[in-house]
Amino acid sequence: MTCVTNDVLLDLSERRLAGELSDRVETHLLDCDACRARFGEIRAIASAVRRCTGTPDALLSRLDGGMAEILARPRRRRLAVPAAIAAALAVAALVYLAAPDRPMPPPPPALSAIAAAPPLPRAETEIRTERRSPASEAAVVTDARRPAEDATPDLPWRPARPGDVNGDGLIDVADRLVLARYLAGRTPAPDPAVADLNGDGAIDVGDVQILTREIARGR
Amino acid sequence: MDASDEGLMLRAGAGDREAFARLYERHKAPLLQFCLQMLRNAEDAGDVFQEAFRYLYIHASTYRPTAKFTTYLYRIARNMSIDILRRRRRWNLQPLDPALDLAEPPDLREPRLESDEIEAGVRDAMEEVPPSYREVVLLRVLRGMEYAEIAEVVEAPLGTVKSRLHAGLEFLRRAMRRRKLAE
Repeated sequence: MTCVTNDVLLDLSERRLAGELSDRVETHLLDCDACRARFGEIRAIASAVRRCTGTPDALLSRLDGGMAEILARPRRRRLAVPAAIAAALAVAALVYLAAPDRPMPPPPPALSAIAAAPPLPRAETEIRTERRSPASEAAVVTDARRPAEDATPDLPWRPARPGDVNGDGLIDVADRLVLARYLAGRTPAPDPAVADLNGDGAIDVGDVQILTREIARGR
Repeated sequence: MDASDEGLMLRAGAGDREAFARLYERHKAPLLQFCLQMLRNAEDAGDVFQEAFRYLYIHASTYRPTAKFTTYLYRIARNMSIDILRRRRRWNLQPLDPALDLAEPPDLREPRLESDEIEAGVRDAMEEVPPSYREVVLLRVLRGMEYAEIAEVVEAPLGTVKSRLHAGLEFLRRAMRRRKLAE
């Protein structure tokens, strides 16, 4: 029998090996000094790993408190105010999109066209900002934050997506984690265009609630 | 009444908060230990721990017992931990948290001679083990999970899990040897 890997030695030390294999490994250990020495080390290490991992009581108590708060709340909050805001935003967006005199946005140019085109004057971006309705303000803010001269062909601009706080293209618990850590004062403020979800000008617990609900909906 | 993890989770999904509280009580200490050892930082571990349970609670109604509850729980916590570890690497943050020594267990320990040194050595050596190996070592040694379950948690083939366990234990073993030589 060839020498035994550490995972098999660990299994042997925990009596998890099947009978025949266990016999073969034990027989090998009788003949192989190196494996026998390694077996002793692996057993001591595994034992130490189990012993050296305790849980700090203070931390656990704090987390218990946080969990009690979570359990005290309804799982899916049906808050009237956020729902009304969301409905109003949706209606405003529909009205804006249905308006006949609204200039149609140009189709997205190819990267080569962006590279060849002269830089977009900043003033034009500002005029567009004024024409927009409040409902699409978040999107326009993103437009305004994109200086045309920064549009380089090798770095295609990607619009910020409200809720995608960590900018990974997904809206998930990782975004909520980033937001929570900011509220705990442990990270710098995220971009309001993606984090100020209720549009009240502040990144606060209200935004966390909205994000949590959106994640729960599987957005 | 079904008091298994899966049964409690199904009841939690139907709105039984007491069932979820029982699940929390049952798994909180082992999960926190796992998070602490994965992240080596008490605050990050606390964040992941709380977010994992919050995520479970919010999604309880969508839970289907197609796998063991612990697989589900540890996969959530593991993915969140990996996310933090990636961010640390991106920002070059220091993972070591001196406060983690608070995680040293309790007063009920029997007096030992060399084993205390081994414990301290393992605690330090765990820093050197890459996260993808460390998580397998912790799930297998600390949680006693079967290989098949670990494979589901870390989303890797069975053979990969075994080779990572071998490599992780080898890291620890060599670190311990270096430590012994240095003394």
